[in-house]
Amino acid sequence: MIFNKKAVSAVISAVILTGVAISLGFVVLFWGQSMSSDYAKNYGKTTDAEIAKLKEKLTVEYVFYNNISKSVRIFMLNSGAINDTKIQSVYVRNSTWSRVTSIPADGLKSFSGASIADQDLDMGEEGYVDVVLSPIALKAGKLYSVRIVTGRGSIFEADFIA
Amino acid sequence: MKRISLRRKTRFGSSKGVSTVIATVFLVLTVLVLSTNVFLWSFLQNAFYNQAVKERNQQDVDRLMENIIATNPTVVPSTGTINVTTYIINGGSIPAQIVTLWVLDVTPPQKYNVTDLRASNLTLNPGDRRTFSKTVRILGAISTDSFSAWFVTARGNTVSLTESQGIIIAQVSQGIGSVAMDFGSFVYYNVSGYNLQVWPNGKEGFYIPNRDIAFRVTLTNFDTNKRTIQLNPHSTLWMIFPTSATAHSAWWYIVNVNNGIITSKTKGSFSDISLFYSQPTIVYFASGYDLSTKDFTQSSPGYTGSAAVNLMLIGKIGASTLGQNIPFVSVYVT
Repeated sequence: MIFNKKAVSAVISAVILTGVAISLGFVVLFWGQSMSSDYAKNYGKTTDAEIAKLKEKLTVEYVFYNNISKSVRIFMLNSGAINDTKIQSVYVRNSTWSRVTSIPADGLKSFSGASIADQDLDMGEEGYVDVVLSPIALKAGKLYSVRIVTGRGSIFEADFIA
Repeated sequence: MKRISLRRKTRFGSSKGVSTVIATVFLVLTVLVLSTNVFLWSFLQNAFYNQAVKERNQQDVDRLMENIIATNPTVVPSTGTINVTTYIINGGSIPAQIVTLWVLDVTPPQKYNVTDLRASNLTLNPGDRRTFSKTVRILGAISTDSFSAWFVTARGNTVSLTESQGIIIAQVSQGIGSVAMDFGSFVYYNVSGYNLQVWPNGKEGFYIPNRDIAFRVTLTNFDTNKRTIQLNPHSTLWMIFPTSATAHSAWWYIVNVNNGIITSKTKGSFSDISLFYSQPTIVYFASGYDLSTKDFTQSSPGYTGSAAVNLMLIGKIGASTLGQNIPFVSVYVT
């Protein structure tokens, strides 16, 4: 009986098969885990970005058009529930015309005129940006609107009379 | 031996199906773990997002619930400084903080002052009342200029300081419309070509010469429904000389002006002027012709003596048409 080796190959093959099945199972499990983890990470990032965007709220306090320098000064208040609101670009437009301007590196200033160090508006912080339109002059007494696009992609609009 | 092997096979069964079972178990486990992971994660993220939406809605509701009322506002200008006094009431159901005071000199060239009030701690609980007084500096402002002032709250609401005063004016003038006129800033300009002379201050409008002139009128829209008024080129300032034996009248149609120069020079070049609720807006009348039918031409009174001046405002109020005639000042033409 001891010297009967007829069943050995069957056992070995069963062990190998089982081992391979278990290994493959773990490989698939870890691969699936990493895939789902990536998906979860991306989904989380997207959700966080959307939540941050949702919390953003900029109030335009006043828009002043300087007809000598042909520029528009937009006074804003971060009345939202999130810090670090950056101004990406500003559109000045009416029903037939539009001009978009990117805000320069030190373009965001506090109401006292000093440049804001971190170039963003935290909760309750106020600041203004200047948009130079020269040589284009806005028509006096006519209605225009400004559209402010933040770094997070939120859009805020306000009307003003030149 | 054959018998023993057969017995063993019968007792323990064939091992050929083991890997299939294990693989199936793993597959089921993998699917279960992964789907639970993804489901729970998505559920959590959705919960976060819903919470953010809820908070945002609450903020919007709070913003709408905020109701700061500025009653009896007085804006007393003197050269370079403006004293703003008002009585503030929190008529809403939530606390509110006033963070900024804006004072705007609307007489061209426009000037403004913005004052940070955070240090004044103007936080009002529901029902709180407080007297507010502040002197602000606006370089170049003079006492005859027109001013507009408003507060901004921490939630981003604007509280007009001219609104309650405007309501009184609107109530007084309710029988004849919803537009108020500032008597203090009624001035005239001598017109040369397309230029308004002595720009921007002009001369007081109650004694005027019998020559080509233009008028500047500051109008404020106090429509009770807060609709925007748009004035079209048919709007006219007209005067009648009631003491003359035969009827004499003169008129000046509305024009667009930029930096003291009439810009609506030709037929069809006039751009409608918008009067937003509670915002004083300067309007100029200078053309002898309606700019929707003819080119600009100068206009003069054509007669001397006392005259009653009226404003015919034609255009739109909100989506409806507007037509109202306001008798507002008297002038003496020499």
